[in-house]
Amino acid sequence: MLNIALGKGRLAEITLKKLNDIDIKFTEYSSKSRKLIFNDENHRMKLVFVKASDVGIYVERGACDLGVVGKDTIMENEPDVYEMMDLKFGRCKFAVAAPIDFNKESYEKIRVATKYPNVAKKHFEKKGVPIEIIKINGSVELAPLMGLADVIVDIVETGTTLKENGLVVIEEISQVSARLIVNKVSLKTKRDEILTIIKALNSEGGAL
Amino acid sequence: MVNKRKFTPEGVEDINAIQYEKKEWIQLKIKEVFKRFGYKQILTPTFEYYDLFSEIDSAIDTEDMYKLIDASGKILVLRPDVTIPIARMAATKYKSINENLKFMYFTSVFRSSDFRAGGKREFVQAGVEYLGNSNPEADAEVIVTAINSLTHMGFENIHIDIGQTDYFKGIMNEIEIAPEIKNSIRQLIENKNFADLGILLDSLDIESTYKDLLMEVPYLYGDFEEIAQRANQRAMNDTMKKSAKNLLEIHKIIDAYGYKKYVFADLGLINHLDYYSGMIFKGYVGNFGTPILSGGRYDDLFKKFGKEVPAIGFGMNVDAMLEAAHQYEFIKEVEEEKDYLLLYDDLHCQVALRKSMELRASGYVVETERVNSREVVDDDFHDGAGYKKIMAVFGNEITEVKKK
Repeated sequence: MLNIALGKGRLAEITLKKLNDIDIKFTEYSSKSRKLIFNDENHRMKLVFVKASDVGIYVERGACDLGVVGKDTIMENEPDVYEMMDLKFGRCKFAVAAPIDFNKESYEKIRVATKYPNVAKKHFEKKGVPIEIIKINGSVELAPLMGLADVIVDIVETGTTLKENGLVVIEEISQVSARLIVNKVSLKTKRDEILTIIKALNSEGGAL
Repeated sequence: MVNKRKFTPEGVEDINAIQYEKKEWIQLKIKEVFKRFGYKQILTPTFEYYDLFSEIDSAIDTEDMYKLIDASGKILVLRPDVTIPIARMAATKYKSINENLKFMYFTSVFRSSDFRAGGKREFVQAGVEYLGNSNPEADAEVIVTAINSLTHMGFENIHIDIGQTDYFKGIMNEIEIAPEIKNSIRQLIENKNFADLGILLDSLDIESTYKDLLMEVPYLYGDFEEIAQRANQRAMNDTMKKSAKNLLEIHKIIDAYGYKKYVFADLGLINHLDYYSGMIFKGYVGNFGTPILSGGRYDDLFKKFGKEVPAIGFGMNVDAMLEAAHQYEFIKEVEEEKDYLLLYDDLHCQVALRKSMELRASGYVVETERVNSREVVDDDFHDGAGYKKIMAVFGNEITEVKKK
């Protein structure tokens, strides 16, 4: 029996569809259900819904064997897990965005608003640019508009939200997509079960 | 400011009597096994000079060490690791390490790890260091010691992964790329991150044979003989061939001990490459989510102290072991009842107290209590909770008081 951790939302919906294709069916589940734990028909897998940013810790500590989580969350929290597969859905990218009139040269220390302080810090450290981080929990686009920050670091899918708020991407940091993460002990002690899942997900392959 | 007087800091804890007894039982079991393999217990100081640790590329980041400043301004650290101080001690206190030295330790280790994730900042580590023997026999014996200490406690579902750092180093020696990139490759392999490893390797200007091999390394885990043979076939130079051969040799000896069923190969096990030189291993039990022990060969460490001494060892986290033992419910039940309660009045004080010493000399746990008169005992004085036997000393005879 494998435990899998998912964050509610689009990644979970796609993952469940993929699991369904390989005959792991959670018939009780519906997106409106408030239940957080589900067993599949044949009792091969237990599904638990946690906050997306908590998937990593559930898998790292072995409460769950597997998890599906965005690369953005992995980069921010850096859980100690095997990151075994790029599931190739949930694609977007990490980017630095700023108001159109932002002048890169005009600031000594850039103020960066972000939900991802660790990612932002590492990115600018690598470039050798001094910054001040302002941790924001939502609607990051607002921060430069209201003068709280100079730029933002966030995930960007289509860029529509940025555009509507008068921001442009000035730099791409990295690509983001959903990843299958595996507990480091589970891969060894439940090797066959896990490899079966990985192989099945792999053969499905491709983007959705 | 909240007054913290009633709290302990995050990452450290009080240990109550029941927990303590269980923890001691676990250490006792481990110690029995270590002793049988000829190890002698030693202890190094709780704090040492920062320089000892900062100048060695060890498993611990200097950021994770607890620093203190002493009266003369020197920087000290709370013991963040046990192996390095033991190496210092062996290198400086033992004039010649001609014969093999076998040390064991049971001690607290302090690290400012990520306690938000439930990590401990103070934990007890048990382990051995086997100095002076570079033969695969020593490697195998140390692994068998580790497994045996787990089986002796009662663990059944034991899984030991064995790797060889020279295999990866052998590949890396062939390619000329920046150290930061080598480090990224190492991390991606260690995390079995196939997707990003592929992307990174594709962006590098190196021969495709090396790319293919590096892509294969994270898959080189599982059945020992199969993997070691495959590693041997794919080896491109002497260093790699030798490391694969070394694994097979060690495996053969472990097999001779009858412990083959516990060990597996994992050539993607390549953490702390600057520290380890040769065979490294990690141990897991059942479904417990984190490794429970780790170790390996560190022949280069003694060079920092101006000596040439081959060395191998491992450490196990006693706190994690306790948690895992609870999960499998084989831990010894703690005896909560005491053996005797002796009740006596003023007149029979001497008889009672001497009797209590006799009983203690025979190994019983005894409590004594002075009461006012016999009547108290006849009435509902004691319900007997917490004691196996209650005795009354109110005359020349000692009588057992019935429990309610």
